[in-house]
Amino acid sequence: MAKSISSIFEESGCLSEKQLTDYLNGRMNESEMHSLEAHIAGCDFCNEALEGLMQVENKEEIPVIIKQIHNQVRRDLKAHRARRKKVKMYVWLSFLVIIILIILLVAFLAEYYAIK
Amino acid sequence: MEPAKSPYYSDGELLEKYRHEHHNGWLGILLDRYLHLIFGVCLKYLKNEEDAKDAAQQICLEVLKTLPRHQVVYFKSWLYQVAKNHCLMELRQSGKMHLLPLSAENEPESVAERDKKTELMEMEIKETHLHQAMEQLNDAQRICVALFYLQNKTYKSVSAETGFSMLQVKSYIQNGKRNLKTIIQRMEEEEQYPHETKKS
Ligand SMILES: [Zn+2]
Repeated sequence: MAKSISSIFEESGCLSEKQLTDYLNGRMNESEMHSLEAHIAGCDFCNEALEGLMQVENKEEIPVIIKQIHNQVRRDLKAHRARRKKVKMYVWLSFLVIIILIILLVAFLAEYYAIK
Repeated sequence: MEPAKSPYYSDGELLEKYRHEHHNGWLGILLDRYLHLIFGVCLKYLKNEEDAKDAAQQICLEVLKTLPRHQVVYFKSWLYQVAKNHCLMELRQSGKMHLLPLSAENEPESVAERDKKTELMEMEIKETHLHQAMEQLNDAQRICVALFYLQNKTYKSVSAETGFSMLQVKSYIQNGKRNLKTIIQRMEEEEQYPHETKKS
């Protein structure tokens, strides 16, 4: 039963949304609970997240809330990309206008000197 | 390859792809991986579901804007720091800092510091050092650490066996583990540079 004590500093991956909600809803067996608790003993991120999620009154709602944030973030990411494309288009347009102006200027000067 | 149809990538690989291809989709996958943790951290500090939802979204935007300017190696620890600092800033601005218990933990921490900690966690530890270090812990920490790590008990059963509350058990184990790390580091430094440490 006693395992090597050096397992204290073993690292495991961060907890999934399902693991956290299962733990909070008491849907885990002893050994699953133990490995989750071993992870949070060494990971501030998961530990604080668990403390926060404990405060949600209806734990079954956690996935719904996360999904809402997910959708909002997706919209933000898309908007950010679209804005970058728009900026590129403006740069290109102003470049074109400058070229046309130079051509007009050259044409005008050529005409002017030709008349002279 | 399109981010949405990709196989499993590590955080580092996703970060690399995002940097090379400038495609926000890669960052989206990374953020999705930690969205529930970001929300949880926000909730811990802000103590209100709606505020925490807004803050989580803002943190993602902040990541989108600042990630290209930072040399991030450990995305996860960097993200945690960004999230925590955002919440602390929000509390400070709204004058609600008093909601937090006073401790060094609640001061914004630099990313360099955080990376150093991650590095220390990855070092190899000598078993003899560990046993010696255990003896230096206080009783509560030593008992909880032993029951938890040697007998694979859950917080609940450690609590039932010792009479400490679940929260006490949790913090004894966390602090015990942290202390063990510090004690072992000191032992290893003394082994490496015995003369320097004797002088000071
Ligand atoms: Zn974690």
